[in-house]
Amino acid sequence: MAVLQKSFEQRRELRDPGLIRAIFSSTWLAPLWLVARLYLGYQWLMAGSHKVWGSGRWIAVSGPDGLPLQSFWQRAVAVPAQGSAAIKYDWYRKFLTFMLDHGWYHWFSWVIALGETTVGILLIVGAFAGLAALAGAFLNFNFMLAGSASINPVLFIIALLILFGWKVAGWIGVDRWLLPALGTPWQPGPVFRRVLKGRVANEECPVCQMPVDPARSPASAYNGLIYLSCCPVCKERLDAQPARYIAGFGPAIPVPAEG
Amino acid sequence: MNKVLALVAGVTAWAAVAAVAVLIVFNMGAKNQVLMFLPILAVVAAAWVVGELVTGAVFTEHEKGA
Repeated sequence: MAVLQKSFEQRRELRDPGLIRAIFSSTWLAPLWLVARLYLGYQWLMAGSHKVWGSGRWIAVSGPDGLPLQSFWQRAVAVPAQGSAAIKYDWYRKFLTFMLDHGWYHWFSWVIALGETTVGILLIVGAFAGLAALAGAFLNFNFMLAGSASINPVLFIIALLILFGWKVAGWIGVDRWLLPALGTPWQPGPVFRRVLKGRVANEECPVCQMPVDPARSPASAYNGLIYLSCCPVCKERLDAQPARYIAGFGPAIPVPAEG
Repeated sequence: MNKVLALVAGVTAWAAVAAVAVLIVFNMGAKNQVLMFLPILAVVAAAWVVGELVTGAVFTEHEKGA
């Protein structure tokens, strides 16, 4: 018990080295992320286009939808008399067999076809690039579990890299404007502030007691409330030790909606 | 009004990127990946310029406040 306390009670945060921060957090390398994002998006859009468009499409066909997916799953779950099966994990084979037995390929083909197309478009325009990369990686992961290698390992690695660099991957894209507007749960943007309208915030900076501007001051979320700092430096201090600065907090005011 | 116009310009620019990418990929297939990649890159560059010069000029204040 003492060992656990000694190891974890301080909750130390291990900072990334400068090189890692430069790669995954600096907008300077945004053009590199753009190339990776466009390549990945292009591959997904092309994969999706074959499934939603053309004579070999998976969905919106004259007969029942998803027959190519049914064939793919049947090949994947087959266990040959000699040699090794495509799927190595029994739980995954049972999962695909369950979906085959229940005819899920009819609607699941729509999920895959539209999912691949959507992931491709989102990556190309750079909207929610991190989430799109995560969805793409999940698709790659499932194809690989089903025994289909192809270019999935390469796409999977690129998707993971984009996922790690989510903050800057869409800098040359829609995320340049979307992420600051939406903000994050730990740093609410104008849209989040609107959603949280009615919650309370402070009228003085908790760190230095300078006045704050509800429309423009940097915001932090703590215990379901928004706290405004007078400047980015104070925000950093507040985020590092919120309990210290928010204890004995002064009068609070509602957060106004921004126009 | 300026904000609305800037937002419309930005949304239109990036919607055009999506439309061009879909049109190119769906119509040309995998004939020549480099030739398909270049126009997508060009339209992304154009949308980025619109975003920086038009949308950015109006909405940068929001970003500073976030």
